[in-house]
Amino acid sequence: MAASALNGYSYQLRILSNIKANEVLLAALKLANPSGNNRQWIANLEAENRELKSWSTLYEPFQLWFALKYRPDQPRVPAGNPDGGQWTDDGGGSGGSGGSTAGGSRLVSGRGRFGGAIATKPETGPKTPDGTSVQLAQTGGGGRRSGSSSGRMIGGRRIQTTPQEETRIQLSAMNAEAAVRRVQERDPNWKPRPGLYDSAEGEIRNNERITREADYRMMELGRGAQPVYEWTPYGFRTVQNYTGFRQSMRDGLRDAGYKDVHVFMRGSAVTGRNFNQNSPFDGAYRSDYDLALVSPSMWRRLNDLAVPMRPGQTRTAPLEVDFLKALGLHRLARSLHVQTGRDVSFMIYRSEQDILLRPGDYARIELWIEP
Amino acid sequence: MQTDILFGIHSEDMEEIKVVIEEILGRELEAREGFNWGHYYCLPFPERYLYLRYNEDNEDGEVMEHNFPDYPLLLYIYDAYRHPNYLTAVEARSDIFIELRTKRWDPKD
Repeated sequence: MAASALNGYSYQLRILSNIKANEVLLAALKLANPSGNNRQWIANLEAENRELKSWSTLYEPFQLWFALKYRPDQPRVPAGNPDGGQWTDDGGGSGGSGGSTAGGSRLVSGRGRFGGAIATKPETGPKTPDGTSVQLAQTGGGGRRSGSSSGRMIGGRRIQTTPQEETRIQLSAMNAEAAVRRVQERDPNWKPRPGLYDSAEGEIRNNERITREADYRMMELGRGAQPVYEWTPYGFRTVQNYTGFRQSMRDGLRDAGYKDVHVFMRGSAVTGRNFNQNSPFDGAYRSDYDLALVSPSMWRRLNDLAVPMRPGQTRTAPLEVDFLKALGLHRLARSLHVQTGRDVSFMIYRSEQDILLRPGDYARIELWIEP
Repeated sequence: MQTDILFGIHSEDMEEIKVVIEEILGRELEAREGFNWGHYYCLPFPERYLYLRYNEDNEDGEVMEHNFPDYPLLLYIYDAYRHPNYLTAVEARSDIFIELRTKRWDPKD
């Protein structure tokens, strides 16, 4: 067989499926009466598996993935919860695809409304080996590395499964994760819909549905669909409103002569909660938009203008209108104020790293806008 | 020229000072909150020339106006001479509002 065919993903899946089926059969035969026929059968199957494993490019990654994925000590959603029995993060977030970007913003940190959705700042909790943490069907119960058929936790209940079901569940979960990973390489914020199931067959069907959803999304992307535009700050009623805000920002900075600006948003517009009082955005009081700008050219001008700095000299104080004027940002500030009906405050930071070191979450506002 | 004036207030009671300002201006102030300034009061949208704020960085508790650390509350009046009645009303209560800084600058392009 040609090497390219052997390396084909579907062919490799079939090889892996045969190996796992043989392993199930071998386990059953070794428990059965050790007759001459059985010994011969076992020897044949073991020889076949050795050969299959020599061809397989997925077997070893699968074993590693399986061993890491089902740590017996990993916390799970408690029984009684719709997701009962599924793996969960140690830290309470829902995990996510690290370093992903949304169409208009990139959230850094994992708290607030978007907690864990597109988190990159400090991440806690175990992740799957491939970094995805979509709600794929998961095995439950401790000590399932052996792949025996002692049952699994599904929907908060222990469900007895056959070795064949175990193998099918594992393969369907691996297929689903691979499909989701392929999509997220192109559309980082895309996620399959979460699914509920209460049986092994339901878990398999759920994984197959996720695979179909991911395949369909790949087809959409292939036909020119735009990546998921998932995130907008609090206070914008529609994505269009937020896009208008970004356009104003982009145009205002361009008109002011800055080509090297990165814009970040901080505060409750990002987290949905007030930094100190934990009240909701626009809850107790109407909320501002707090912007952090990083621009080497702007930063160089600060000394000449004697702009007040905060301790540490890594950021300015919130810019008052005379400094906004001196920096050429007063029109932009006025425009954003009118556009949003909110006060929009500006601070200039030396670098994104300096924002990262400050308390609280922030989100990058992408100024490049799809035509 | 535009003139921006900063007043310091020795009181720590923002709610009490807010009531005083409302009385002397005959206007209601709106409560706002932001990451940079924390909780503060100002005139209703779209007016942007009077702000009652804490002299404290919402993030780390540091003083916002380093030159005036003894004033827990600050009243900023931007383009003060464009609203002379408000400025006069505030200046008339010098027992509460202490003028700390005046900045004059050219707002024209």
